[in-house]
Amino acid sequence: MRERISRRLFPRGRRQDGLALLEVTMALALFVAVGMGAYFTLLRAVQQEGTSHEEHLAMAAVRDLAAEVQETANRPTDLSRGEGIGAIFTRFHRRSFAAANLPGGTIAVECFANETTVPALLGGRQDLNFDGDSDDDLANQSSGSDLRLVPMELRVDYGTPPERRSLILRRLLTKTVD
Amino acid sequence: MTHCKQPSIVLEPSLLRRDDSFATRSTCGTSRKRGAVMILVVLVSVMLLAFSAIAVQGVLARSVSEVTQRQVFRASQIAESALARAVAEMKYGGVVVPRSGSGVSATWQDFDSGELYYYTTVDAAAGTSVVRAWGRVAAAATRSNSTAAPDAVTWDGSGWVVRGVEVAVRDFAYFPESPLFVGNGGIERPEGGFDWNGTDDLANPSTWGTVTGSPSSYQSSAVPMVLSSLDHPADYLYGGSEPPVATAFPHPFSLWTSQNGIGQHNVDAWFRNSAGASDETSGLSPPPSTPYYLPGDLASPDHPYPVDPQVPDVQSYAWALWNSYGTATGTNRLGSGSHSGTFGDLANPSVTFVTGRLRVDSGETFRGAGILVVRDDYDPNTQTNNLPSTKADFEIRGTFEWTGLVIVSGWAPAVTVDSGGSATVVGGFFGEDSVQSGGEVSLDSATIIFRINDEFRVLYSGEVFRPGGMVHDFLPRVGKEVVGIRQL
Repeated sequence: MRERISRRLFPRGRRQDGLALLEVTMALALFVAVGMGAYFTLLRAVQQEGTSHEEHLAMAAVRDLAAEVQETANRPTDLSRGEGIGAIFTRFHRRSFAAANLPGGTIAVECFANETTVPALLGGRQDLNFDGDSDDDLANQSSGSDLRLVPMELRVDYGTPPERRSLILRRLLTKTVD
Repeated sequence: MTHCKQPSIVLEPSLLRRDDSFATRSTCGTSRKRGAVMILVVLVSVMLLAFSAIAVQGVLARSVSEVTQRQVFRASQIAESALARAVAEMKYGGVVVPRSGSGVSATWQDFDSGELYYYTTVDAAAGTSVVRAWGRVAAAATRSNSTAAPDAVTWDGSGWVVRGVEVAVRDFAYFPESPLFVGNGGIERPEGGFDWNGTDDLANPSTWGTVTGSPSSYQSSAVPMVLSSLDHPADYLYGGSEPPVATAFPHPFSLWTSQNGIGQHNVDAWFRNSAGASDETSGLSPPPSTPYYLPGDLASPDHPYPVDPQVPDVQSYAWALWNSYGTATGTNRLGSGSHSGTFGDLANPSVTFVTGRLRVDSGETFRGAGILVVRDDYDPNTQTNNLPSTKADFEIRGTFEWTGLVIVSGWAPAVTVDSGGSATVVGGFFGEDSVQSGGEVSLDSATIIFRINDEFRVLYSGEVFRPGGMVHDFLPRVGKEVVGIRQL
């Protein structure tokens, strides 16, 4: 039976040598499918490597800026020179900084100095000047040296469009030296 | 299984023409090739699939690693934020044993995308505190609901990424180095201090305006201040009564000290306006002279009112004293009102607290030695309402004589030397608003009110503060500094 079918398909005298078109097509399809899968997996791995590296740099950059803010906070308070914990708001609030070693990277800083509207993610309403209450609006120029605990959000944006990514660091910060 | 047909040797011409045996041989070889190729294709495909699977695993592993890295990063930042809060509570809030939450034990508190936790242990004898702080971020859909500290045996950290940090905080005493220290914003505005307005640039002192008028001012046009940096040696000790006129002495001590530039500006403005002159030292008796007078250089230690950022918060100083001596034997505790008498002497100094007003009536004398604290009744360790029921108020109508340190701090404190009154402090004087007035948004209210209408001598003496000096052992360890840090 099997032989009969075979003969119908490949009649004697017209029998084809080598691989049939169907077999070649199937093999090619298989190759292409598997190859594409492998290619895209590799591509994804390479992209992820780059993304991971960028994220690592972003973390380092935002950590560096947080360290700079801490350094400013630890200096003796001199508002006229933008130093000391009380100068943090004036010096960093709503300012943007270039992220070191991160091409196109920028870090935007926001300080939350109104005790009543500190975002929940930063602990919500709280006493920032340690006067015993949590209803002061310290978000103005004259409040400079009243700030003792500074809730901050440092947002680093990096990558090239449309692959723009961001990382947000939320921190409380105070003076640690005396 | 298919077997190849073996070629047979047949000498029939017809068969030789067709050469079927060759054809048969050829078909068999092709099948082998096809089989080999198919096996090769399958093998390569399997290899590619295996490679892809490995690559996918790698990608997934890296992805997990990235997520974990982010979680560790966040947990670390939360832990450091917890630490900042704890240190700030110790340094500025007057809290002796900071802990997360408002209960008697620390609790986990929401923060960022996770939770924070911290507690403090204090070694009072060694003057050190240790703060342990953690941040935790959920790492699994199901996780423990442990409320314990991560260093407790009952802690169950399953499902969390936890990072902790520990700091050692050293307490240290501050030795006053100037006769008179005014913290925060300086002197209250009605007496001639600094007034903020919309055009002031915090970073540019030249834009800061002073109050040129004297609305509701109690201050006379002269400021009868006598300060030892000009006329008394640093080791002068006081036995009471009128201090003798000192001989000329090259005093390395500043007249005033302020905690920041705004306070400096306020003190300066207060002198200028109260004395009704452009010279910020014109109210002083005797007036300073070069080289101890460099008003043009705000950063100079020789400026009449130099900034001393190392001075601790005066309110914290008063709180620390209250914590240490509030209930101690030998401490004098006076209520609000008129007082007179002697509270300690050079041989037996003491700590004296007056909660509320200390008024020395005309014809009366209040004298003593050691540390005198005029305070309000707010205690940050037990209260949170920011509402002291009594303010610190120091009013001298009679005679006040003190050797050691005098502190007036609290909610809108005031110092008044009425006409006919006389005040002499040998040692040092600290004055500061506790910033307890609540709701203030400007530094000009975070000050102390001075109404000096008669003789007010503040004669610095390092003798009382130095190790072995009469006040040295009373000085509170109010300075807090992080001296060690490690990951947990």
